Amino acid sequence: MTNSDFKPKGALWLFIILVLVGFVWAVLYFGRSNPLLANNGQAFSSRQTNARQPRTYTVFYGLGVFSPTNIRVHVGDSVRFQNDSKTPIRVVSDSLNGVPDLAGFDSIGEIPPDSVFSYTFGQAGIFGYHNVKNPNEEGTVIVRP
Amino acid sequence: MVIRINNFVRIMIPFGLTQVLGIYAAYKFLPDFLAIQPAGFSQFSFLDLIILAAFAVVFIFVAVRFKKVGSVAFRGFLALLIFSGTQAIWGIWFAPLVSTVLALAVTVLFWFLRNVIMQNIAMVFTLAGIGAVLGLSLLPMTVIYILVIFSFYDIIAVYKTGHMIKLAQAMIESRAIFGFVIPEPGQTARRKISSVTPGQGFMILGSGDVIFPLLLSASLVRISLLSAGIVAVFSIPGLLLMHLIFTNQKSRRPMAALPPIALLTILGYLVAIISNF
Repeated sequence: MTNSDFKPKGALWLFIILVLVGFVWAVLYFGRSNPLLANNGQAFSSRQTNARQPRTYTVFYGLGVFSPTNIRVHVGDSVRFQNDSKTPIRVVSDSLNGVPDLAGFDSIGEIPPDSVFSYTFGQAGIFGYHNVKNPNEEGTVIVRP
Repeated sequence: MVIRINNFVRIMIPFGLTQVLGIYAAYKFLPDFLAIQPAGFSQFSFLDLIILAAFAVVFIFVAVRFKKVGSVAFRGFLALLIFSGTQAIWGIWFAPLVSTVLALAVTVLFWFLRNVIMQNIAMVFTLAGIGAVLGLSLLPMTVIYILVIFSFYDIIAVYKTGHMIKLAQAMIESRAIFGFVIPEPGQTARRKISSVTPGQGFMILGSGDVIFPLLLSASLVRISLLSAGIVAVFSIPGLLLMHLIFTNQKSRRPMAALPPIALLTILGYLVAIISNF
């Protein structure tokens, strides 16, 4: 490999590494406003140790997907299921042999487009749910003590 | 600028299949992983890194210096990886005993058929299974740091020390290729692995270049399936950028493929964060 051959290649790789580092910085910067998506371990531990007030989280439904698909909350927290799609949905708890994982969770009726169904989780556990209209559209709420 | 679309599509198909299958596998494995705290970067001590680096150095040295021992080690290690990865994937659809038998069958077929198509099918299953399990065990930020560190390492190992190229050559000589073997137009996927020579009608995409973006997607499945999908979609233009750099080299030679793929993969993660998906 000649010197004249190496220089532009070295510059290219240096540029790629610098942009990579820039992106990591941007992830850390923008991740502050989205700690769930950009959690870094500290978010997990601090949430476990601090005395805390109940919070409300939102799960958005659109394009056949619940987002975040898996959400971690604590006992006493509320989760709002917001229907951002053009069709009504009905959110119900997954069940085993006809027994729901979380009795009382199911939305009483359909959640029309641009509407919200809210539920406060009173017990710890891992609760799966799905849209009755399409059982393949599912998500999980992890409720910690 | 040269763009060989036909070549790119041939690379993209196994790469894309691995990402899709890996995310699906992670989604299916998730209930078993929910009780496990994913590993943060701070959980690795300096001693852990030293042990890992020492193991890697010894492995590379033995593989390159003592070719016979290296050849046996490569083959054994590859067989173990194929069995583990395919067993994890079959486990999605079948009972443990059936999935173990099927994984064993794939491993045996892999060693008996030894052609390009079997190599690539086995690799899709292997990398998807291992990537899904590893990704679910890590925090997304940990994977980001891993991507940056290994991108930097890839450049040094290919262009500065050259040991990555020697290692790849040793693997090809021992016919234990950790990656996809991509036939260029005019070549058939039924060719025996023993007749494959990179640069002469075949390209090789290393397993690391495929599994690292999958680690990030799989780690995001814990939080948002949509974000995982966005990251996987962004890794494809990363693959295209890698292909453009590769095809536009003055002379055709091995290149560090991970940095451009990692670049666009992390950009996908950034987009997911900013879009609040």
